[in-house]
Amino acid sequence: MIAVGMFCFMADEALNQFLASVEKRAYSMALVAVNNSADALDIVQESMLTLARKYADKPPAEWTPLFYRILKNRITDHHRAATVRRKLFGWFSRDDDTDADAGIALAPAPEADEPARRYELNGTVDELHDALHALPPRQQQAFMLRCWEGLDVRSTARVMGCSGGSVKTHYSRAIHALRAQLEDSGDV
Amino acid sequence: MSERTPDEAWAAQAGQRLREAERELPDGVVEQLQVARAQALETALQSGGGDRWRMAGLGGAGAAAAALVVFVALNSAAPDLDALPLMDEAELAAAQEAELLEELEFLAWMVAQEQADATAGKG
Repeated sequence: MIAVGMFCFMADEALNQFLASVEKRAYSMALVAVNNSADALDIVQESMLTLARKYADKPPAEWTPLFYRILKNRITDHHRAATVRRKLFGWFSRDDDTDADAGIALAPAPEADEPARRYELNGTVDELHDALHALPPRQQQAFMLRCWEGLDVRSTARVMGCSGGSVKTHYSRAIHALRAQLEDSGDV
Repeated sequence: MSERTPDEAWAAQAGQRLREAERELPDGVVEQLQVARAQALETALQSGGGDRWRMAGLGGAGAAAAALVVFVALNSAAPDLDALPLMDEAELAAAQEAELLEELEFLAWMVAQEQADATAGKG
């Protein structure tokens, strides 16, 4: 029984460490998706609770794709609920005022040769967040999972519930759309 | 080592900036996230942790009874949309065909983009 107790403690500690490692990123992703801090916190909390309640006994290697799939589903649920509210009441808008999360102005890219400049990502993180928020949901998901979280194509496909080819298409379109929007913002 | 494409280089920079920014969240948000994590762990302890204690003590007969309960629950529960999707051989073959078609569609789209860019450049 002592051995079982130790096992349970270690398993809960593993879950604690996993959730601690993803909570900030999950919140940031949810914030980009829903544009509201309180809603983003609710989404992350629900996602954590779902993982803990239903999948804590899964192998830890499964937690990352599981957690992001849960997060994706909760974000989708939020958008659906918001759509229903908009249709019923008419005054809800997706362009809610964001909470005053301070933008982090990063140093501008240094002057460089012309061929290298077009590779540079200029502008603030807030502008990047805004551009990411404006993407269609599937492109947004693919970009967040592939680029932000660093999942490979196969894992991303499992999270998104689509094929690897779809992931590549959504991801590539997302990059093109983001670059076009950020370059058009006049910071190039 | 192959060179990165412009898109890959841009995406790498974007990903790095996003990861840097998430470390600068407001203290109030960080505290709320910690509270949410603690509540999730409490839930795991009450549901999953309790089951682990009970199953460890039941032995063979108890494990068989638990397996029967799980079997019934799985067959009567609503579809779990959060679970990762599994595919059988036929679905996998169909998915691979669909993936090939999407690759072709993707290539056609890329060619169209390049042609549009070239036309815009001339104009």
